[in-house]
Amino acid sequence: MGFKRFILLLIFIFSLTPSQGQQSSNSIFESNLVVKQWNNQTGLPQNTVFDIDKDAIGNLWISTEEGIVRFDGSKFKVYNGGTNPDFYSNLFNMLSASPNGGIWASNPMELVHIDSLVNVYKFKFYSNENKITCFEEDKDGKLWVGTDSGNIYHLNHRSKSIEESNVKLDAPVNFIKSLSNGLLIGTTNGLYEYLPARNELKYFSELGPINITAITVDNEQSFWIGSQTNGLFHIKNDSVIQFAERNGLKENFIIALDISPTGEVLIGTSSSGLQVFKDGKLSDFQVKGFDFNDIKSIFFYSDNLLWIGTSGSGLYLLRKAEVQEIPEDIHLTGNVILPIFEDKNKNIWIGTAGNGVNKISSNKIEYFSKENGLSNGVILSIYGSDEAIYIGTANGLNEILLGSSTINKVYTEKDGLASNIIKAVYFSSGKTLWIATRSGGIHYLNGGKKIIQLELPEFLTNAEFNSFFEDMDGNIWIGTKGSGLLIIDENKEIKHVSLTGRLRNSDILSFYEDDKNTIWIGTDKGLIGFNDDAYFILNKENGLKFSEIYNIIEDHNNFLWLSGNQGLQNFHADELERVKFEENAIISVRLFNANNGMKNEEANGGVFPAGWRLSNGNIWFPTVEGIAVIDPDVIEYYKEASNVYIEHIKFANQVYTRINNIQVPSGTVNIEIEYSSINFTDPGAINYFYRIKELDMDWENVGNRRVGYFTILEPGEYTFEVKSELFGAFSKPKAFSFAVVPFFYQTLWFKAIILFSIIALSILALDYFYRRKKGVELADLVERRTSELKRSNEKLKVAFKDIEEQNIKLKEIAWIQSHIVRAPLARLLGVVDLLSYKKLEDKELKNLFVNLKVSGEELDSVIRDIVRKSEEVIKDSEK
Amino acid sequence: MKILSVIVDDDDLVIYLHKVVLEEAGFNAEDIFTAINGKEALEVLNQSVQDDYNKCIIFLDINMPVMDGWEFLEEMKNRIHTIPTFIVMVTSSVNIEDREKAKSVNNVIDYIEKPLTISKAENVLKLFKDI
Repeated sequence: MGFKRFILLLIFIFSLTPSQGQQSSNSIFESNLVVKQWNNQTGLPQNTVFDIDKDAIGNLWISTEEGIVRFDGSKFKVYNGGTNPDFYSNLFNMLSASPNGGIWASNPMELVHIDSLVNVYKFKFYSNENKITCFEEDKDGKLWVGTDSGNIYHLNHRSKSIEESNVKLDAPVNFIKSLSNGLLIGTTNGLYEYLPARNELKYFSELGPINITAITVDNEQSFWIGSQTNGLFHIKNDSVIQFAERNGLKENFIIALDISPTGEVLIGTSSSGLQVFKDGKLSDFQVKGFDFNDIKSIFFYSDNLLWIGTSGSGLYLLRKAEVQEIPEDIHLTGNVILPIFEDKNKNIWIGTAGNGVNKISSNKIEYFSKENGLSNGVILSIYGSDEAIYIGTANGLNEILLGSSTINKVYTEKDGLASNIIKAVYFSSGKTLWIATRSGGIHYLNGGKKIIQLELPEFLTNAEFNSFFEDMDGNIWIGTKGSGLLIIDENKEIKHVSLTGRLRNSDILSFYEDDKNTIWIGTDKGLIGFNDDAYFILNKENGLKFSEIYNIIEDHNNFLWLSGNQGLQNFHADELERVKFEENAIISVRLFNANNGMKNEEANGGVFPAGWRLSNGNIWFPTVEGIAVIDPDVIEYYKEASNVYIEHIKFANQVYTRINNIQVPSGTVNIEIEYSSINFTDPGAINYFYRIKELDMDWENVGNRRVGYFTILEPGEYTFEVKSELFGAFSKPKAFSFAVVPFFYQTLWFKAIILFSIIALSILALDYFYRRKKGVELADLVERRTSELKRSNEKLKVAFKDIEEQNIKLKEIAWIQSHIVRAPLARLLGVVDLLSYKKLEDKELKNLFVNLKVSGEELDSVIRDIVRKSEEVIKDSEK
Repeated sequence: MKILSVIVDDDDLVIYLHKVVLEEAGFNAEDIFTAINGKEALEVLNQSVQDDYNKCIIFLDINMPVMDGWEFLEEMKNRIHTIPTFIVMVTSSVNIEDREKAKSVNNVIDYIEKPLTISKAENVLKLFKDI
């Protein structure tokens, strides 16, 4: 007996856990997805995507009819004949990342390897009957090349040429797939296995002469073979299963196959969209927002990201949404969800606007409506005590005893409530059930099931209450609509706090107490924090994406989730400390809306509780269209931010992608350094910081800009450093060094030559004076001549001095001419010019005339000054 | 493309005239900033206004109190610009020495004798957009 019950219980648990909304472990096929598309209007060179893969650092590579493209989430880099004149053809039908770095791609005439350098390997056997169709790099790094002649070639890395191999098939080769011990070769005439060790070619006669278009190998080493007219084949341990239109396949023409990280086989058909093989059967893969049926390629980038290449419609990204919905098998009465509450037995109670209450238990959903005794269908509040669930409606408070499925009692004005409109119900740690109603009613239900109304001050008789909260000290906080806060202590003493200034009339909808015991209230004007001695405001100016806060819920990763009518936003709870201590702190907030999977961005507030953190860690928020489900562990806060790479350095119109040993000539104006990150979910939210280490710069925040500009004149070695930030998490900095090389006169050797020349001249001069000393006999003669010269020299000096003085005056005049005369003159000309083309108002005109006069007078005085100075010069020269 | 322009001149009337001319030549009125000397111009550049622009152009007078045009150019030499920054000298001087001296400085893309006219400003804008 006991054993049987155990099994039953196990089945019970296993079969029912998905209903609890645990989406995190779900594959992409059971999730709410977000779709994004790129085409030739948004960065692709062309709209047919033949192949997709990712390289070792995570860049996405795709091949098209107009070249190969690298994509990091924000930037496309195209490799084609325009950028690489070596390419004969831009039609790259196949592409594959190499385990040894870089990527390989093929067009009918050549193989191309792209790393920091681009290498082209010409196919010298090319002819109209012998074109490259496919290639595959095997586990030893050997590259096999298939052709439409049936010949297989391989790349000789040493001689860098494509050589003949001894493998030849009798039909065009479409696909080669490497296995642990050989190759699978798909031809237009069936499947072969080639074992190089024995040089043996084995034909899969079970499949027959089918035209093979795609091959993939799953985790269990079984093969999935797609064909052009015969559908899909699964070969496992020598057994072959065929899927075709007759047994559930949408179309027999398979064009692409890939295995998901969770083991499902995704099937792309030529013109009927996608299908998935999971749990042993085929099912449709319908994604809202992706309705394109001409599939070309499929690539699982990760658990969360699926890329689809199409024939003519570009590239699609199907991404697991951050905001999920409740499982499809849970059908709720009504779309507009109001309060959500999970009771101590893990039943989830969901109130709707007019359609009653849904109770989701582990094994079933129960509905409460007017038909089965609920006093009203509009649910404003739900909360549970130790014994019962209380449902506050627009007409009375309903009590359902735990474990029961019927309404036990309805409390109304007759039972002592101030109004039948029940705004909020709350069960405090003091085992008191609190009830807030319209018309200023705050009540509690004591053990004797009797409603007792608290006496409130006169001015609160018409107050509308929104929410309850209990702080660490057991005080009950009640938020109102425009009438401030009530704080009720253990002795039921009531304190009223009114908000003033621009916070007056705030609608207080929710509360949060941080670990420093600051109480934060969520209002329509942002978050307001209360300490014993201070208060803090956090709104859009501090980085919030929206200021109208309906609810605040902390997840188990210490992120706070705020709901509002523009979606959800979150930030780390530690950010609140910055708001307290930094003036004008800007905190890092992430917004979640339709782009993150929300069916409708408008969350609901003003009901209590407007969202709940479930026992499994997920958070459910009510919206006007269903429930927004957050699994905190799915939100990858840090993973995505942790990368930044340097793309190239550019100066003097030259681009350098291999960034080592870069030498920049001194005086180069505008060195440009481009950098980026690989991020396919939020590339627009990344912020970059950079600096030149040697210049003692602070990190400069350049926002989302992915290029830095510099002018550096001093020769020397420099290090450029860049780091990225996403939602508060920083990447490690990436650095690269470059040298600014000196002008010839700044170099050491030039300075050495100068020094050497000075020494040499000094030696010559010394030598000269030494010789002169020897010629004493000449000295007397020289002395006589010298004294004559001295006399005439002194006369000359006086004359020179005069000339110099005059010269200075003349220069001064010239300077005056050029600066002082021209200044008022230029103004005059400017004003006249302005008058000739612009219609001016009277006031402006008057102003200009005053200015004209001033400038004229100034000019006059300058001219007088020049005349005076000129006369001085003339006088001096006449002396 | 958003262009940040800064008019540096100690003469109010000149600033007014230049502003009108630049607007007529196609510069965006909201993106024209002014400074009455080199020091103030540096302050304008230091403010984070640059972040919103793609390029910066400075119309620089030579003769100014506090920090003149030459001193300003000297200050600009070892600065790191967050956006490509270019300078147009606008001066009343017709002195050839001044002209040659200005041309030898990096980032100086033009040397204009006052008064600045619409056609001169249009030429600068065209030249600047080509860089």
